[in-house]
Amino acid sequence: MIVAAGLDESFKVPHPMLHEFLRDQAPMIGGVFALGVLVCFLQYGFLPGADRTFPVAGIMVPIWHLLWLGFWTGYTLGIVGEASGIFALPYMMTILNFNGISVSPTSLVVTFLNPFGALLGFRRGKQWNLDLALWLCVGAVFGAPIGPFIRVYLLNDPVPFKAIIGIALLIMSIHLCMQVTPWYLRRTVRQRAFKEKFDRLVKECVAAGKAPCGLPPDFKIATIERSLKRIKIAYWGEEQSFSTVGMLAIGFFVAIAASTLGVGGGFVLVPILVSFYGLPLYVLVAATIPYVITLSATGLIAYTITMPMLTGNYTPADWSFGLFVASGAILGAWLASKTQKFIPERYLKPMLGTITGAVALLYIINYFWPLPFKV
Amino acid sequence: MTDLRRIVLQFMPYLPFIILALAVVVAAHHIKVYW
Repeated sequence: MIVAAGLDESFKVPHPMLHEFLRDQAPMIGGVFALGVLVCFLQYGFLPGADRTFPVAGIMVPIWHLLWLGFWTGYTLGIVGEASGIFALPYMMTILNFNGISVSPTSLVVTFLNPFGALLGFRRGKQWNLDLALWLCVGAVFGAPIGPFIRVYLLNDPVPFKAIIGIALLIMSIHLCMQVTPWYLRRTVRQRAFKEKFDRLVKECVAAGKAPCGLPPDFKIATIERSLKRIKIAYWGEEQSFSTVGMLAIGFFVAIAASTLGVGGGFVLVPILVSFYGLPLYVLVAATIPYVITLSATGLIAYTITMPMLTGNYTPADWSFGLFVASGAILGAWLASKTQKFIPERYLKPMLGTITGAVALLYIINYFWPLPFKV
Repeated sequence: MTDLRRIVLQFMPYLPFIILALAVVVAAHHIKVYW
């Protein structure tokens, strides 16, 4: 009886999720897509697609496929707390056959735009702390300009480049599979405590007839101490401190690796923050989202401005291609952030881990012993 | 309305698996048509 009354009541007010979608997400998705169309006409003078080649990418692919690519990578990686780059990049290379160096800056266009939808949501939900993100981002600003040089001079051939992506995918695969092992769950005391509190609150909300809401309305990530030596934050009864030098170093080295490949860096940053610092997923997004945006922007500037100015070697991004993928990715990431609490991680993570691991092995094996089929 | 909501909530856990399966189908189709 109580449940029924609660449900009726929640439907009398305009649905908050629909409201949020129309206010924040729809204009962004539509805007990015429209920008993609505009860039096509300004840059190429026509709309590429299934029957006309994307001039920079050099491939023919229907636009709906790019939206779909963005959507599914944004969604599946959003569920495990990362940006779409690390899945979108192998898909663009192996399935869509986009094998030029331009695939890296194009992928950075996607990882730059992808987190903005989630950013608005997390900022409103107070899952936000710029002090925590600051030193990682400073590291990214110094590290990301180095990657493009490695990509253009040392890794310009697709086969060794794919082998390196294979290693990145392998890291991610191991981390995904490891997360559900009892050994890992025992080790991560802080995350478990957080999850128990979270689950209890979800149950209470459902019992009260409201939509499941894992975080309390007064949730926030507060800075307790901020100095040049360390940052101390507090969230939901937990306190944790970080050394600024450590954060700077992590940000720097992850940024070199990520901008070389053309991904957002979540594939190593998330495992580091989860395993070594023990941050729960709902808190670490406060650091990773600004980080991915900073890294992608710096990397893009390096690919399109710094590199050509210093070396005369121009590797443009296919802007319209990236914008189409990004508009799908924003929708996917938003949907992921809203449905994450319903997804059984115990099955999803090992499954994603297996798929990622299989692709990783194909790429790595192909480097040493060329496979009879194309990867 | 309540029934619809319950159906949607029950369907949610399978969403990532459906999306992944669709991705595989679309990828296979693309390879067949364009390669």
